[in-house]
Amino acid sequence: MDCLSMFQSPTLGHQSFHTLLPFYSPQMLKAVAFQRRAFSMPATVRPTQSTSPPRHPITPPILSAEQKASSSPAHFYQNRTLDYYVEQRVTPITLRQLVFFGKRLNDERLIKSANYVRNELPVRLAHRIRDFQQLPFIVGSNPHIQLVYDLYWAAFEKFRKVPPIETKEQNQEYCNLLRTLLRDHLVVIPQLALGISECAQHIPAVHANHFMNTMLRSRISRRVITEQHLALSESSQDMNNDDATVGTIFTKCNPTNIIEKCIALIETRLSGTAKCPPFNIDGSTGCGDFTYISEHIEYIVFQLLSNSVRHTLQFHKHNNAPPPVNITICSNDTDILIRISDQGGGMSPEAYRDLWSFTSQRRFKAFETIPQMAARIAEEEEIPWSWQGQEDQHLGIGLPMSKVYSEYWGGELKIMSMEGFGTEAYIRIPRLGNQTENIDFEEAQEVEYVPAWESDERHTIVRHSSILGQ
Amino acid sequence: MLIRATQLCLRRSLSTARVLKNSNVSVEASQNDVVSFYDAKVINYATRPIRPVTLKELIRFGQPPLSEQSLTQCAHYARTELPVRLAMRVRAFQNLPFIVGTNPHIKDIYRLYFESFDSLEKYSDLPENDNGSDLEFAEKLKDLVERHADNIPTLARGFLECKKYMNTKDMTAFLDDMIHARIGIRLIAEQCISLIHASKNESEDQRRTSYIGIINTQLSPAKVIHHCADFVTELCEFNYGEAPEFIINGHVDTTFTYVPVHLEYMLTELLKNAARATVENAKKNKKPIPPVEVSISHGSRDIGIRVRDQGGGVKPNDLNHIFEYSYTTVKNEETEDSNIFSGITRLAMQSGVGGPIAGLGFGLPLARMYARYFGGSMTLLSLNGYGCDVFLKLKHIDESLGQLEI
Repeated sequence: MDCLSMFQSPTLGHQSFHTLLPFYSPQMLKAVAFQRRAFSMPATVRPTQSTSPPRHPITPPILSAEQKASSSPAHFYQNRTLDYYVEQRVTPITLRQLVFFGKRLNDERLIKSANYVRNELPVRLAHRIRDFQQLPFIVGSNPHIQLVYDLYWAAFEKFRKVPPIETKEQNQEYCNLLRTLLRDHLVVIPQLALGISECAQHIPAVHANHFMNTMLRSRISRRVITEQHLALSESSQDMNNDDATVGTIFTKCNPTNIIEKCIALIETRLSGTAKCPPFNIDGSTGCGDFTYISEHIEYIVFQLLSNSVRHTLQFHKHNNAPPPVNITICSNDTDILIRISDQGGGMSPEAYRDLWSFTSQRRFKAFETIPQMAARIAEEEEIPWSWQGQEDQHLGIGLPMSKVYSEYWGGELKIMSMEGFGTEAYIRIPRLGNQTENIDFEEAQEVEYVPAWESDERHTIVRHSSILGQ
Repeated sequence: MLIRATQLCLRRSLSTARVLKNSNVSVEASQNDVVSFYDAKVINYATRPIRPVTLKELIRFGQPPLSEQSLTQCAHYARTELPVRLAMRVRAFQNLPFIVGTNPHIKDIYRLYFESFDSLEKYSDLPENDNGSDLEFAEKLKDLVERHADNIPTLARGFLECKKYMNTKDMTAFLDDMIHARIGIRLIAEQCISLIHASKNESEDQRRTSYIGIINTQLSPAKVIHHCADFVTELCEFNYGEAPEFIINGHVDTTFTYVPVHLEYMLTELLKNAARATVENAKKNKKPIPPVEVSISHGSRDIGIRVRDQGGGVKPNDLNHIFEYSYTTVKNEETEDSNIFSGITRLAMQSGVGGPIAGLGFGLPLARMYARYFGGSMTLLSLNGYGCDVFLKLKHIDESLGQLEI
């Protein structure tokens, strides 16, 4: 199906979308180029790696003019291939299914797994590409958004062209492809975050947040099945199989261990710069193990703990003995609950309202000064300190990302704040593993309260929760 | 037109009375009911528009120095406004399904509102500067406020019994309106009463300068929490033999502007719930009783109070209904074995501010309504298997709420 030949006419020529509507003034473009260098980083924190975070300057892959889908005039007509995949339904899986499958691994099952991934990835990616295509045109013209779109389209093209896998050698090749793409797409999150925040004036906040949340969820879902398959492929060659690990899934997850691991990491990173506040762990510390992708929980706990520590230290700057961060573990038949309670001064109502927002300008306040700074190259060294902080924090994406991770298998993350005193975070992780992936983002959200006497709608729609009373 | 209506009314009541007399039914009682059906007064007042007063005005009425003029204005406002609001409450009762209206508890409250409306109605047409009648009016108001003190528990009992006759949506709408209006009526009434009395007792006024009517500009949450905690401890010990310790921390020295009775009511409810859950859970698991922690925070625009217990939390199924009226996690009294001691303790439980320690299912929704009245909030989070956290956020009643209409 070669649409290109139909449209090689002198009139269409080589017009590219980039020139049609410049998104920025020249100063902003320079600033954008600067940011691209600084903010590419891995999406998941792997605490088992080296203690000080190496700055991975992963530059976005340079796509040639032919590869840049959005700039190709034929792209609109090539889109028909996408339609086919968009019409197909995603097959979400449960954690239990993954474990069951991975425990009794043999060659035949490995090939089956490869084909599952091979079928799922293009479909899941196609749905998200369609989301991009539905964005308002001006939003889609944003360079960051376009970069991700082009990356996704290129990946989609590669994925859909993979033939059915029948041998282990083919599986190996496929795994190599997967690894390359995983690495190249590490820039997606910062790019999307920057792009969406820049588009705050062109798109209602509700849509922007919905778009971002859907993107992030889908991204996790693709990475989970990909990384699981990669891990299974690797372990199938590795003779000493650790019984407790099934690919990326750990069957002996223990909340106390996870929390202690994160605390150790924070203490190491802080050592020398500031005195770490004490940590108290109470509750069901002796609760039994459960099965989960340990990395997800570690990410969430690490984000929340580092927020607590950062705020506690800042709020009690002049105090030699900062108050402790209290962690409570609760375990019941269906869930593991972790409450992290700090005395870091809480947050103002405005900050609380924008906690999960991707479009809040407050988050990216530092960026307002960029156009002036980037214009004078010598100023580059005077970067505000916050940019050099923790990897995710300067983009403000740690919390929304934690929320997406926690909700992925049907859990929850809730934050409550007492301004002037401290903040509480509540994490709920389902322990039975029998819930399917949450890939689509539900519309029902926590609606801002309107008193019954001020509106005709007596019943506001609130998402079902196992932590929050309604 | 009014004369004709009255004539019609009399003629009909007499004829019905004759019929009823013949059937040996008490004529007096039926005359009362019949009168209230044909009485145009209620509709007359209920269809008048409400004139809300802003919080700013309400406070201004009572700000020192108290002047004759501001008192007269306040009294005049209360005199003309309260009958209208009471009439609307009466109308709301009249619109309830018939079977619900025949429930003795609900009927009692309906009658009470009707009589209150009736007794205040004659003051509403008096001229503004009638000082003598102002004092009389204040006395009458005071009496009424006392008589209405136990409305909510009675209504709660009534609606619990009527659960199967009324759909949840309508009941919630009725109760939301009812409670919201009640808070407003009482606020205006009590403010008026306390101002009129304060103006007559200048010395007393000087002693409590932090008060503007029933609003305390230097209310200490810690003090109120101590007070409520003591009360709940007593109640708990009476009922269970032991009570949890209450730990109060955070910004204990802070003060803010609020209506003390509202805060007391909310805190008592929350502490009661926390204490009950803690003791019952500890007994069930045969463990020592853990403390209940209450933390206070002073924010830029509001006060935060967090009640944290280790009472085992709330099950996810119950969580979705926890703020519904008449939803309770306490077992129905009728199904429990009753003996003389449980009867006594039940009576003991029914004392105190706001009603029983548990069981009627009104505590949380009511407390939340109070919290929201001045733009605050109440949020409950449960760690099922461990305990609950309840967050109360209350706005300072100050300039920023000035435009809030009561």
